[in-house]
Amino acid sequence: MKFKEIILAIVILFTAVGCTENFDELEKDPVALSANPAGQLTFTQLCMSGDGYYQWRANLIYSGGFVQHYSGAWNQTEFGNKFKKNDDYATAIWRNGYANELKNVVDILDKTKGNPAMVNMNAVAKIMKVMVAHRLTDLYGDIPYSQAGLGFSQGIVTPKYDTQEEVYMAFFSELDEAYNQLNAGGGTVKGDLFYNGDIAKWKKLANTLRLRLGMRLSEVKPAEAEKQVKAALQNGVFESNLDNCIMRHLDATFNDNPASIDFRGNGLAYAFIGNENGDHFSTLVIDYLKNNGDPRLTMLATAKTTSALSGKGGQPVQPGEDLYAGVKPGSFQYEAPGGATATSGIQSYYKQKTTPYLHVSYSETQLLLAEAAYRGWVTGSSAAEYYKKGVEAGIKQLAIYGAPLPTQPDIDAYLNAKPLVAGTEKQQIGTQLWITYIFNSIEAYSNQRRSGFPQLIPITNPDSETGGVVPKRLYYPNDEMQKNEANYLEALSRMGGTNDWLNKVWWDAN
Amino acid sequence: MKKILLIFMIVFTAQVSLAQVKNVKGLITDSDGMPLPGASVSVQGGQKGTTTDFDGLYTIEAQSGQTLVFTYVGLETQKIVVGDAAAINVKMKLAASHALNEVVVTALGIKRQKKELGYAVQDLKGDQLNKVITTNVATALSGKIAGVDVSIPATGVGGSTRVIIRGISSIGESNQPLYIVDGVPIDNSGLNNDTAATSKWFDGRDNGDGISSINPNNIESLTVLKGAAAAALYGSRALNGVILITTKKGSKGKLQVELTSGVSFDRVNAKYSDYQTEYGSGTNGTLPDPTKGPNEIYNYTTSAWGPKFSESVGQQIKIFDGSMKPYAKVENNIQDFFNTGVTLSNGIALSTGSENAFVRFGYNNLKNDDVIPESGLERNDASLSGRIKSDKFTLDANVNYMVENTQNRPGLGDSPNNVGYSLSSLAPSFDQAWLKNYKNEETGQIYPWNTNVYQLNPYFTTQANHNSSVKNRFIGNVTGTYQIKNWVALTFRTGLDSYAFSSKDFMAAGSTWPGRDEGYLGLDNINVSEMNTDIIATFSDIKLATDFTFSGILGTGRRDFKRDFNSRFATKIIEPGTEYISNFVNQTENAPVVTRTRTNSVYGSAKFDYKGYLYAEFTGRNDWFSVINNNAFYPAASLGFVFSDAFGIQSDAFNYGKFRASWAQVSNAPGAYKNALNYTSFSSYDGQSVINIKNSAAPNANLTYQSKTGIEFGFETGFFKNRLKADITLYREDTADQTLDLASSATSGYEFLSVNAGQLRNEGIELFISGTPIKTNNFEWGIDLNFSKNKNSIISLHPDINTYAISEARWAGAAIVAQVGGQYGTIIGRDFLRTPSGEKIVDANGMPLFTDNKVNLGKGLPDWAAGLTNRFSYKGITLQFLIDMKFGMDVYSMTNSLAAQKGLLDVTTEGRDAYNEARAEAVANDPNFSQSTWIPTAGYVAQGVVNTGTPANPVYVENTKPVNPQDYWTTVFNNTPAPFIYDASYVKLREVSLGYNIPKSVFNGAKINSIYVSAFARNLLTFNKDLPNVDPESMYTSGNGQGFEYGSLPFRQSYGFNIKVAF
Repeated sequence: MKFKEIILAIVILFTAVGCTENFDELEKDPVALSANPAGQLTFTQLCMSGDGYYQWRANLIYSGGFVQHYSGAWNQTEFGNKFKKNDDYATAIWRNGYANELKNVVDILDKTKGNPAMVNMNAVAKIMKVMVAHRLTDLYGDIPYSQAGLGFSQGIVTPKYDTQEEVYMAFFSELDEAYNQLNAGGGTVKGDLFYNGDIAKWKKLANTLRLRLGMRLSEVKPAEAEKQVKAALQNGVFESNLDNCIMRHLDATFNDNPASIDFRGNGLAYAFIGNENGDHFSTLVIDYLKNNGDPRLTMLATAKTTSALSGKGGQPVQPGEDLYAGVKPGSFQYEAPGGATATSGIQSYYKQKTTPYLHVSYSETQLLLAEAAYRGWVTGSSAAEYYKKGVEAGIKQLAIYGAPLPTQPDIDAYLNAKPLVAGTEKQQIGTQLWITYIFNSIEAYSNQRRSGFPQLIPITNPDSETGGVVPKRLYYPNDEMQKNEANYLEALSRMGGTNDWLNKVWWDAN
Repeated sequence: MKKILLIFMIVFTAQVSLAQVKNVKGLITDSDGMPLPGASVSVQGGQKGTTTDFDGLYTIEAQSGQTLVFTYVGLETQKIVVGDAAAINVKMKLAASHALNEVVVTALGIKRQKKELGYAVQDLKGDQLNKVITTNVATALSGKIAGVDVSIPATGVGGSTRVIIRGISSIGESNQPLYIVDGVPIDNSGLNNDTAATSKWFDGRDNGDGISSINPNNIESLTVLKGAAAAALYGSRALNGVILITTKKGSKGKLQVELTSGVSFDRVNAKYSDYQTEYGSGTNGTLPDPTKGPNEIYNYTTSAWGPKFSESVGQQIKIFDGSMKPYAKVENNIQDFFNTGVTLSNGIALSTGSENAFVRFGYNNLKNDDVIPESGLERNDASLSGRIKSDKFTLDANVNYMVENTQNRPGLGDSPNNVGYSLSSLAPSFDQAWLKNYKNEETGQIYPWNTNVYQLNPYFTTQANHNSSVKNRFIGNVTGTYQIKNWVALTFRTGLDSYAFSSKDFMAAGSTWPGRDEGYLGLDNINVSEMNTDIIATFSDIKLATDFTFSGILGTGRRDFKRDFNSRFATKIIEPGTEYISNFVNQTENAPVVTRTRTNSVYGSAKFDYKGYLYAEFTGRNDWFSVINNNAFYPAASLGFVFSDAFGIQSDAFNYGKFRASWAQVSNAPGAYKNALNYTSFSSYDGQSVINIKNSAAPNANLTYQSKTGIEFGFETGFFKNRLKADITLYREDTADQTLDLASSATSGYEFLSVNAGQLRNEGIELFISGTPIKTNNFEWGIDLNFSKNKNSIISLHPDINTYAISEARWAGAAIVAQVGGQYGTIIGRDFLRTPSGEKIVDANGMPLFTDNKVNLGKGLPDWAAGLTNRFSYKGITLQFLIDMKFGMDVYSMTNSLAAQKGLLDVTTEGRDAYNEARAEAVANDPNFSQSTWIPTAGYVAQGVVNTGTPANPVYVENTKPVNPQDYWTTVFNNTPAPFIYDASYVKLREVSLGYNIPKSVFNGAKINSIYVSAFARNLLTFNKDLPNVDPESMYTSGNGQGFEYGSLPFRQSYGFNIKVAF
């Protein structure tokens, strides 16, 4: 072989190597799927209550602790009841809400835009976007919204923070758009676990959310609130518990492996179990139900199993002793008189993987309308009528969990015994909303801040980090300082200058 | 056995007849006069070559006047002109420990004289790697090579090691080197890519790495290509340096049999000697109320806030299973949980060869019973290598087959199955042996044993839960070389590394772990194949002019990589005791993860040799990557100048001086599938598909490779006839366009942003000194000292984002980050709030305050490291010990922070007596006493000041407010890592071995050639001034997130014996 031949042979080989014609194919992930709005809608709906990570932290520990739905379990009491900071708990819903829910909803909007067969899907995604984002703004205040979730489609990696007022105005217009967009010819909505594609129900949900969010502005911008509430009522809100927005969970495992997390089980139930069933209703809940003869006492709580009387620890409940007792906010279960077994537990049907999650209810609709009527914003029914329907629906809605319903005469007796009383309307309505939202403490926390009701039991623990003052918001993840510095600092400048959870959000003008 | 050998002989023996010119014969011996098998003999300038047989004999054809070249790795090359004599016997010289004419293996397996090289390489002989029995050969590198940082995380049986050459090159991707076995890359990507992330959230295990599959007994030599220029021929895979492994081959001669056998014993140190020993289980200085049920008693298993032992003599305490136990300090508590680990290694190697064919077969069995009960591994390894050659053609084939079975790898970090985490939390009054009663024998119920549902009883973990894994690995290559002309040869080489790893993780029903409480089974399957094929033309010794010689290569290659990951899990067991998936009610199959990549390459090198003292080399490689459908070019240039030869300045005192300089660019390609939006599916909801966007990092269509530019200078010197040698290297390496998944604001929808951004610099110095201070006929003392210092700095990151999070801690919001202007691996977290003069500020209630933002609190990577080996040999006895040290790194020890929160740490005793006394008095005086609202009148008074002024005009006064020490430490634990960040610098007596070559006279007459026996110990002594209770090498990951320790398994010491018999 000559030198030239060798070189030629090598050149030929190199030419062959330079061939990269199949690289286009190899560049693609062989197991990736395509965009799938229906599947992504299902995913988003599952996350909203199936994400045990933030249900545990944002819903149970912090919101549930702040509004004193619960007390007793270690982290729930230590952090939620006593107002101690934990970055992981404070930022959980921020992390996952944007990265799972908003991201997919924004992608559905992007992929369905302008597609006549997807008009309804697009509208549903708009409503979902509001549902997802209002939790975030209510918990944190100013948030990235108009530029959120656009990290890929528009390359925005440092979204600006909109003011909460701007966010709310966007909510109203999006809900209005969605309502007007939903129509029989707009294509079927597949993958919808809330309403199985029922367009009429989605229209009602859009309006009911508008009512909820409209009422949120009652203190800061009453005229706007009135306008939104009126529009919602006129377009048609929930009319019975059959309209309720419910996520029905599956008996799927609570998998906490981040690589293969499964959102099909109820995330709050997962949190209760994760707290080793150490959560108890607080004395505020139990005493309220007990003192008012509310039939929900037995529907929600279990009877205690041992005596709380001094010297009778560990013995059966003594004759004449109350069967139900909450745990004082800020106390651990074992610190209750008589210990943990001398307090009421949470009925087991709330702690199953299959426990449904109630997002928006007819009960809340009627109670919010009661307040609107009391304020004179709506007519049609009296505040007392709305109130009565709201309380009744609040009892009956527990049937979805499997709670045994009282008889109608028993319910009526209670409703008649505890009507809306002049002079205490706001307190009664606020308290009833707080009970109606009992497994949705995030919403209860928003409504409590807005209305000031119920009045919470003062926290006197000397190790409270706020000296017993209930936080007014959750603080932003500190890492926004590293990741989105300019926008973060701009938002903070509007919100009191510091990332402090005692600074109020915009609508909290109480 | 004979039959097997016979087959090998038939397969590999090919007689090729040769024309007789003149046969030169001879015996080659080492400096001690012992026959040297496997030494190379060649005719200078020709292709003829042979190796000595087992008796050190060779035969080669040559003509008078030709020069014979005798080489042996590690010995001085000798050249002898053929005269009239028919026999030429050569005594090879062992200069100091490493000769300067030493031949080293360089990139692409090319053997080169070390003096030619313009860049640093350092090598180890196989016998330095198998002195001590380990389950991962990379651990034996620790402290032996300058600039190579080896960490052995405390991850239990079959775990991985961390090998970092010249610091961190890549901010966001793996920094472990490329391993090449016999010229062909193997996969070392690891089976659990990020143990740091999974160990933070519940389920971390270390499934080992690629290099652990290599049997140290098969290694002939190992070479480390440290810098960019040395590794440049590996182009897009050279970013982190390269470790070349050459396996043992057969040699000409009669059948040689070598038996090796060894045993090693591991012992743990789990004494937790800085835990307090005065207070046991309880809370607020009281014992749990014995009238309460077990589910209120088990709170106290891991809470040591009880009364003082000295004031509670004779008291009893009720424990989790309802029984009563004495309340007193338990001695040597946690230590007793662990066993003595035993590792047995037995191997046989057979080798033989004829004139033109060699073969070697090796088999090794390694069996390990770990210190953790029920945990262990078994590895069987068989290898076969052979060579057939004729006049112009040489064919080499190596195959290695390995099967590894592991049982019960421990859970790490926050894993509920981490026995270290569970045991290190036990109150000092709680005997770990009580936990053996984890199950109520009558009802079958598993007792809850503490409040944390994510912390399992360690006996339940080891006895009821099982995990196992099997790895089958095949590594093989075929190389054919055809010598076309005497100046050019063509080589074809293909190599395959293929393995299948499957693991099974079973958890029994009845535990408290939510989601797995009714039983769990996880099944993972990983299949990896890495195939590399190269065609290389080698041009050698082409005289361009007088004194000016050219050598070079031109090659082309293709790499195909495939990785498939399939996983399933199931919950709710149907019939206990049967651990397969169909015995579970809920079964879920996860979406597969599939990676397919291809790289095509063209490469070449040109080396010019001027008068044997000036060498210049240029290399270039172009890679085409499928992952980004793009290509890149990698150039390198290096210069080696033996100035002592050039200027003729040798003397007895100074005999060798060389200067080196090099410059090169290398890179690595980004991970696959990061440039498009992909979707993935979850388990369906009643038949409806559940689809999520797969990318957690916002895809980037313009993603490209990161590239490193390295520049390096070095001096090599030899003194006193090479009795003292020093090699010093200075380098600077910049990696730019880092391929990063940069943490972006979650509000963008993506946790990360795939970008090319940022620049990272490593500057450092490496020093290697070896000397032979004493050398007499019978006694020799040799010293090797290596030292390396590396400074890493993050020059830039991204216009919008100036911090990259490497790893996040489980507690107190601590993180390991790369920050612009700082060093890689900075530990950040909230600190105590302090006055400008540095005093801690406490609030009006006496509790500490903390900074809002996270500040720098330490760093996880060392500043410098050194290793010192001393070798003493007297007649046949060799004593060797290695001192290994690393300085300048910190660790956030969550074992200690959790121990503070639980009242276990010694610092938590302050103020307890006062608090307990005051509280007891308050309880006695107030029938309505409430723990949650009582304001302590005595207790722990935090050192610090209170601001009695305003935030704008502070007035600081000394704090006098007592608090409950339990509240104080809980608050500190939750909010700041600062008190638990310790200096993890250490000095270890890493290896000690004492070997004896039994004189032949002892077994004269037996058919035995040699017997070598040795005793060894590893990690005999550790010195660390700061970090209590855990070993400074207690990280739970071999990944980039160095600087966190949590519930680490106790560190081990091992010692054992080896015997090697050759027939």
